[in-house]
Amino acid sequence: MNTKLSHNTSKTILNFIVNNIFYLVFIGVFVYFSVASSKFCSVSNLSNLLLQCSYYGILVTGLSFVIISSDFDISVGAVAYVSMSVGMTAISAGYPITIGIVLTLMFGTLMGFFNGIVITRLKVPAFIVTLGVLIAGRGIGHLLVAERGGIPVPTVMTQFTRFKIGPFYYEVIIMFLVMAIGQIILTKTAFGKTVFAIGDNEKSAEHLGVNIKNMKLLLFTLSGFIASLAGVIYVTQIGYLHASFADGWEFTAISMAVIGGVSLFGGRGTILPGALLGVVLIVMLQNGLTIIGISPYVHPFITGLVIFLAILADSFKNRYR
Amino acid sequence: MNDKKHKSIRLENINKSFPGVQALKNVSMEFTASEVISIVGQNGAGKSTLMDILGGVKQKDSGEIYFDDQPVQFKSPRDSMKKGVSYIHQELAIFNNLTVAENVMFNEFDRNKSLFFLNSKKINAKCSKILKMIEPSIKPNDKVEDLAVGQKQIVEISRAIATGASIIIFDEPTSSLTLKEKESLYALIKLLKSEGYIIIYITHHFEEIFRIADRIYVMRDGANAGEVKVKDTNTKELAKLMLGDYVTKMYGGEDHSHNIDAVQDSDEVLLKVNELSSTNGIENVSFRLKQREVLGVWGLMGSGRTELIRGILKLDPITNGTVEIKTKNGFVGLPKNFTKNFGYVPENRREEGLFLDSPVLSNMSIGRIKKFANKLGFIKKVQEKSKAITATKELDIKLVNVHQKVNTLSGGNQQKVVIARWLIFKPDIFILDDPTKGLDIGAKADVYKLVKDLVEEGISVILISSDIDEIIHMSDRIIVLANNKLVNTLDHNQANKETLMEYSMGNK
Repeated sequence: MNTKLSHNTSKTILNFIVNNIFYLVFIGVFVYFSVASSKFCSVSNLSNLLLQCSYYGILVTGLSFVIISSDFDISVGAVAYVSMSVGMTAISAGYPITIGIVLTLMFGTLMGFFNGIVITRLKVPAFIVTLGVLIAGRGIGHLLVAERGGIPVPTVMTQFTRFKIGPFYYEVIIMFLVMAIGQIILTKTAFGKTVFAIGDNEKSAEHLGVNIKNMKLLLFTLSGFIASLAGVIYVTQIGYLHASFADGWEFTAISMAVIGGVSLFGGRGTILPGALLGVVLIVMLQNGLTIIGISPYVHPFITGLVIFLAILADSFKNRYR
Repeated sequence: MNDKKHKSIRLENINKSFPGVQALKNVSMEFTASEVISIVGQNGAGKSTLMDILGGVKQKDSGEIYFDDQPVQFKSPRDSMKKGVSYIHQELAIFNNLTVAENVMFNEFDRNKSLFFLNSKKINAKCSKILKMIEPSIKPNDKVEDLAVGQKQIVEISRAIATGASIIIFDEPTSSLTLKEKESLYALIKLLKSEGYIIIYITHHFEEIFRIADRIYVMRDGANAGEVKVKDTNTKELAKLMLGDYVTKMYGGEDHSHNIDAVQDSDEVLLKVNELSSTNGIENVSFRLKQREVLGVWGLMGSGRTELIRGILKLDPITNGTVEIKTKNGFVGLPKNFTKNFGYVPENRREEGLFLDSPVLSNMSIGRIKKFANKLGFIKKVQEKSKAITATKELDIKLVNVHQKVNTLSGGNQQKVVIARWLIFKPDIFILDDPTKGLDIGAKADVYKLVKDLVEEGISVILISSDIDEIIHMSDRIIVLANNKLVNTLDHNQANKETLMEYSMGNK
């Protein structure tokens, strides 16, 4: 009797660990860095850490919609780069900053729309379309930017990064807003429920009269818009538009979403808290490893390991569902 | 729920053709409220096409559909749904990641205001009203992924009610239900009937039809073949109507006289399985397969039927024992690549047997594709095609041409494609794992005839089946498995249902 009871308890504990592995790792990493370095858990560092999260958090919001509907968009980094290049070219040619930003957002939206059209109307798999846009897009960006050796960002724009409410930079507040709106749409509206439905069972949704093509078109357009918004936020932080701007964002952002519980198989996940915590974990790893003095060459290995484990856990969960 | 339900639905002279086939020929039917109508027919008789037209999935070429004497046109599933048609497919249209209420009310979401907040209170209330009527144990806030299959089906039926359906079409609704769930489904259908719904019930199972249907439409080769009231008919008459002249072909007319003599003539052993054990659980199984015989393998689910085959073919690692096959040089161990001697038709033809999206041609040649290659490894197209066409004719596979996707064939014809794949090379032994599973009577009869033809040609057959009649009728000898062990070997004349069941349950 006793052994059975203790067996049950240990099983419950095991279940708890398996179900909450992400949170446990998150807390573990946080505690470890806090203990390893007094600098890590300071207000200024945490505030900076969130600042580094801001553009990723925004980016992940659009991507999460696409991934939950069981699709992919790997063009987001290129979309941010091209749209920013267009906007900055205009600004450096003397147009007002607002025009430049509007142009950026419009161009990003347009690229997302282009992705959506090719995917839904010409029926090319999303992976291939967005891969094409990723490669060609970076090419276009290079023509506009790298040819000139990069474009400096006007100081008026970079000064925005100084604004703070309490410990939160303005970018962080925008990120929270975008993510909160995303989460509300996802869980409280018919639109969000339909995204989940498509992700779970696209054929059934179609049989029930959901216009899958238009939904997907909308989701990819949204992803493009959001990517360019993230680009705007990022460029004000770094102060210079260069040839490797937003390079590799797509895979970092997809990993962050997956780590945060947005299933690669579609139909499951949250933006808040899920995707946000995924973003914070990855950024925290990079930040903490730097602070405790681990060589930057080791970072990709450690981050990669975490991403690999998260994706492994996702497929296990999916298999035993 | 709503009183605007349609009282009658009429289909008049519906025609539909696909490239190369006339799927429906002047089909007419009439359904009235508070009635359960069953539509029966073999696979390919046109039932699904007709229902797809009523459900808006496919469009008719000509003919009229009347709802309460008003002609209607369906261009999409949405159109037909709006008119009150709910089509509950074999594969449920259910979203596991949403709640019960969200699934039930899915069609009621206002898509013009899709970015407004959903009124979840209202949704839950409306859903709970429906659930209270048909299945109070399910709650609106339950997650669908936690429900059993039967409950999920009820969720889908609830959605039909919430959508304001007048007519609910069930396509093989009991295929994945437990006995208890079946009973509650029958009760629910009775309830729906008394509420004034029109129910169309499509199934292969006669006992279900006689249990719940009022009237039966029989279809054959895409046309009306009869209309009977359930109380005025019986299974025999129904089978006759369904099959036309097929019925005599079943089990080759009289019982199994085909080749007993032939077997005794050539009483030679072809395959020796000695004390075989495998990692898959098979323990110490020994038997012999003679030339030109059908060896039946009988056992309950989980008795190790499929595992035995996988062991013999070395698809699972063997831990003990040998498998030897007769060659010119006497008995030798099986070569690594079993396709040299065996034609293997696995249990789940759709998952394990076929490349569904590929054409019939490559599905047939893939079994030993190397045989079709020239020295450089290119496929000899002409030879490949001519072999495939010959096999198609030999097995009487119904298709437009060999470039057609396998997916578009009926179940029986798909099964024949798998058999044809191996037949091209005339293997010594055919292993058929539940070859008639999911096939209708006509297609079954074809497979039985095919097995007999194989044996006539000198091929031995190992036949596994979960259909006890099939095993008894088809086999020359039967080995019985229980708990991964061989418990007995019976001759054809010793075998009857009772003894087989007793052995397989381990009672003897």
